Amino acid sequence: MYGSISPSDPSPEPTDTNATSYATINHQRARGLVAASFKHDGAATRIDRLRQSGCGKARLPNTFGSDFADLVTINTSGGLTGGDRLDCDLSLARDAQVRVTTQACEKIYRSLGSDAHVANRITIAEGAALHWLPQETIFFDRGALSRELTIDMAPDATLLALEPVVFGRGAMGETEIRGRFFDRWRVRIGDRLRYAEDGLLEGAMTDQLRSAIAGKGAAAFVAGVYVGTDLEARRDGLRAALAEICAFGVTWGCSLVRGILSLRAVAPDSLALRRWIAAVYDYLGGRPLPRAWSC
Amino acid sequence: MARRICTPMTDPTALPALLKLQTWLSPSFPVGAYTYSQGLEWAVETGEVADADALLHWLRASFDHGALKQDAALCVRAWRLANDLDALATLIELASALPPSEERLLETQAQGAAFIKAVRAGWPELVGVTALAAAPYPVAVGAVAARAGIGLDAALGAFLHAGAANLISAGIRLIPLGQSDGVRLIAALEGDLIAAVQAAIEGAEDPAGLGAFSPLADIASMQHETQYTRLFRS
Repeated sequence: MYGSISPSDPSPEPTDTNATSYATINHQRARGLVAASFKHDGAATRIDRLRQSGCGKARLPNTFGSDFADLVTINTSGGLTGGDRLDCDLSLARDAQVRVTTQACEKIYRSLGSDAHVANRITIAEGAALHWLPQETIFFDRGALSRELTIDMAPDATLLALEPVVFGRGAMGETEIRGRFFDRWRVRIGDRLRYAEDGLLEGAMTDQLRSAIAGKGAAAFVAGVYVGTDLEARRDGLRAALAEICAFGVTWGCSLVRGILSLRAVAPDSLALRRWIAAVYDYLGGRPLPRAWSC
Repeated sequence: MARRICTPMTDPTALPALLKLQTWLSPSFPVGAYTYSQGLEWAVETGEVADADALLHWLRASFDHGALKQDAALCVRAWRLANDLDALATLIELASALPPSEERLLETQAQGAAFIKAVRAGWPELVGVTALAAAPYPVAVGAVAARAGIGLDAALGAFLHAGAANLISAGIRLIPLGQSDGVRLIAALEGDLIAAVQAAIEGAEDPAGLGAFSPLADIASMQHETQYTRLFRS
């Protein structure tokens, strides 16, 4: 009965005739929660409360000389499949500065029917700053993921959030992908909804990814937002600073809309995508990516 | 031998609805549709959309998983919520937060505001609600059509047809294409358009129904902001 939840252990192929019976088997499912709050005590950002449960774990590596506290989240189940659920609740009190990343790429394994659910809920108080930098989510054939990122921030808070996703394992010849990917973003600034996104790929995802409006066959994508000061200058500066990145096959753009710098990039693979993210983070975040990105 | 009979329109509400849709979604209705291209101008500039075939694929993809799909879903929700002012206000806030770029936001907000203003000139009884003044274009069309008693499939079909025809007209000017190419495109898209109408109506209560995935089109509209010479505002 544990076979089908182990990612390395292929489970029997469900067919049309027996798919229902597979779906009704009560598989063991992963549940994970990381809930953390941070405060600034006048000298530095400190962890205030931390709760971890199930497969959700967190580490707080030392960040010598940095004014940001680092939080590294870990999914000890090693990946997500249908019915799994990961929650992350973060709260940044006044003036706290926090950078969040994941220890590894999140893998979305084949689902037997239902979606894996990921819900990230974040509040950012006055003067606080969050850099949300998960490593890329890797979506396997017949994966099913429903993800939500909900951010409520004060008008003078700072936010940089980049969510990379890679469809299929090109290195393993996995180029035709079916499944369901739903990615919801809601960013409220001072109670007003300022950025919303409902990203959806469903069914024959490869066909959609091939279209000229989606990816033209590219596998790696990132959506992002930046909220901070001097947005017009940052937009123009970013366009100038990243003018060379197209050499790596990355197509990208940014736009200042509703007081948010909206970012999009499409890359042939995760390597090119990571170059783009590192360049964007260097310019907008003013520092190199967290160490977890290069471990 | 049976004589072929032309059946007259028997539904007494159908003709007034048809006439209103013809007016509201005609290229001459003053919403300025001809000044927007949804980033198509950049896609033509880069050579991505270089002929009628490429434009056909661009539009099909937009119906399937792009801006036209999302606009259809917003129009359906607005039609259904037309008399629930709180829900309509929430929908307007969401529809205003979805465009990923400055020009896509301009496109939907400016056309929505112009649509409401123009409808007010001819049918003031349909737009008494002040909330509608800030409605993005698909929400404005859906809500006004519902208030006029126009059926959802007809209203949505006419709205999507106008959207596709507008992009074809942009393609004719930009690529450029001949008028016959444009006619062939709108004919070829009829099935896609009907499928998009059905999918949007069936997905009316789907929590993921507004979902789309068009990063390269989003990027095209972002890049269009710095395009050197341009005819279009988006």
